[in-house]
Amino acid sequence: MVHIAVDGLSVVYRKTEPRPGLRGRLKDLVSPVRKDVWALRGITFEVEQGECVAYIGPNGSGKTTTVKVLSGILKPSGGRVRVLNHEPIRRSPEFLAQIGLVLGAKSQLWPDLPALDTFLFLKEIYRLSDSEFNTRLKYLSTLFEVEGLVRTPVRLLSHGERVKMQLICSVLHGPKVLFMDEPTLGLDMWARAAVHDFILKSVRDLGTTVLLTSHNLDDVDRLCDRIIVLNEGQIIYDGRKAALREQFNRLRKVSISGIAPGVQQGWAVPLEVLDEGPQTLTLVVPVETLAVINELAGPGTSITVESVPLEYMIRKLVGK
Amino acid sequence: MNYRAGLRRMSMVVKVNLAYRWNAIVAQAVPLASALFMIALLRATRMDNQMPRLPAYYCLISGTTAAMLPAIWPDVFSEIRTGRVVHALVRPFSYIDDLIWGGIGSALWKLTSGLIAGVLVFLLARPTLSAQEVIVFIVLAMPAIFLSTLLSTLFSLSAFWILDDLGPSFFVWYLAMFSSGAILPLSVMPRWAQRVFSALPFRYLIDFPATASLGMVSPRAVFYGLATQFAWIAATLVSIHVVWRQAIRRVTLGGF
Repeated sequence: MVHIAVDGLSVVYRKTEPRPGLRGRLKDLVSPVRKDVWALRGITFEVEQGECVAYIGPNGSGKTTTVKVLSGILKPSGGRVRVLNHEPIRRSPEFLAQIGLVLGAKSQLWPDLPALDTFLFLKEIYRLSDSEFNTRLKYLSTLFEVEGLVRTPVRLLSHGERVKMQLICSVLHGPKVLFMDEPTLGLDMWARAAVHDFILKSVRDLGTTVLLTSHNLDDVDRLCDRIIVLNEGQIIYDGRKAALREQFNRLRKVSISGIAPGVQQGWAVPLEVLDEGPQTLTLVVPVETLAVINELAGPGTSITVESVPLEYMIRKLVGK
Repeated sequence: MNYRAGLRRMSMVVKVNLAYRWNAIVAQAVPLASALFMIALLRATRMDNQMPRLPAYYCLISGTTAAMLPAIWPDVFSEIRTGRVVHALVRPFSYIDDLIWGGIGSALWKLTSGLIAGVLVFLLARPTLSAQEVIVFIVLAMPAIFLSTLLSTLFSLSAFWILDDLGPSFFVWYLAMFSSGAILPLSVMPRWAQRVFSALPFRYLIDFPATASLGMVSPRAVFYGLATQFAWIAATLVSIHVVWRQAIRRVTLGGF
């Protein structure tokens, strides 16, 4: 069953371009310079129920714009969008009750009140029964290890604890489709693992559909089988993670330690330097050159060979 | 309309105020001081002999001015500037309902805490004021509080166009202070000021409920005032929805 269907979605908005200097800003007050900006250029994709899809790309590529359209905040300039068989921009209460939006950097908690007050407010908004609310809150607060903190004023919580409470706010009503924008921002490795665990369980056990936007490719690697890569408002890759790895399976990441700086400049093999330190070198090389690299590095060096990381693959796709 | 969510929203505002009780106490200091000053001025100038109901007028409004004067809510500006408003937009509870319920909660809190100021002024000034007049005032104050909340919601939506709340806040505050009757009843103002202020909604927030309950206006004027008060409520509700339609487009264009 298709939960998200996007067909030829375009978003264009008008942006004011400020002139430089004080005189320029004064001129802007009278005759501003306006420019049309294409945030999305006719993108098309579908997401099935229970899929966890990574939606990634560089800053300004149109990720958040897509999430805004899908959650009904933004009106598309062109194309057709259906989420759970609803047209998001109509913002019908039935539609809004079935989606959840996690914005790692933006809180909906009231800083002067305990998180429990916000949870109770959300309980009424989503018309949850007492038993439904208590069961879900118990499950989530145990999962994120915040049972003892729900009655503490939010301003007294640590950043990580607040992010966990924020996440509980977004999923308390058991949304069928979850839009997650940087859900692990500012979390330590334990909290990140709890978030990963929650998403995996929601997808596997409840069939929740997740569209994940994250710059942390560890999240993507851990959670998503499918990746959509966006650049300058266009989809440049939409496929399985395994298929992407397949495209790069003739390359290896080689880390050499104990090597003299700049020595690789004389090597007559195709290579790409990822990182260079005083005594370390990280390269990407074709798999058939590994034996030669081993020889060229010479005695006294230590070499580690791995598959190329996801970050490298995405960078190559985007061309940056 | 989700009343349970609205009532919960109201209770959250009261809880926040209880967490910072000094806020409410300090907020009452201004109307209290202004009412006591005006009563002292009336006595010194012997104006209370010419207008014997004026001390009672100040006594009634001293505890209620804070609840009945509209304001621009800085929280709305901060929510829009930080983009936190996005959360409110994806909930099945409209942002406007959220603001109105929150505003009513805030007004009721100010009204409750303002009772202290009202009682103090009554004890110090000993005006001629019957229980019946107080009850009529409370009844007339209810639509006034609702209108004030709606006006605050409408003015606060300016946050979608304006960055800083300070300028509009001062403008609304001064305009409302003078034209609502919070400083002087409109009946003692120059004729031109009465004419101008009668065309604004603020008069129906303080001057009308106070003068009507004290019998300072004719029954016909009370009927006309009530009708106008409700007409302003309807007009403000319509305006909120019109402005909100434009405002949501700003979210669309500006993004966060």
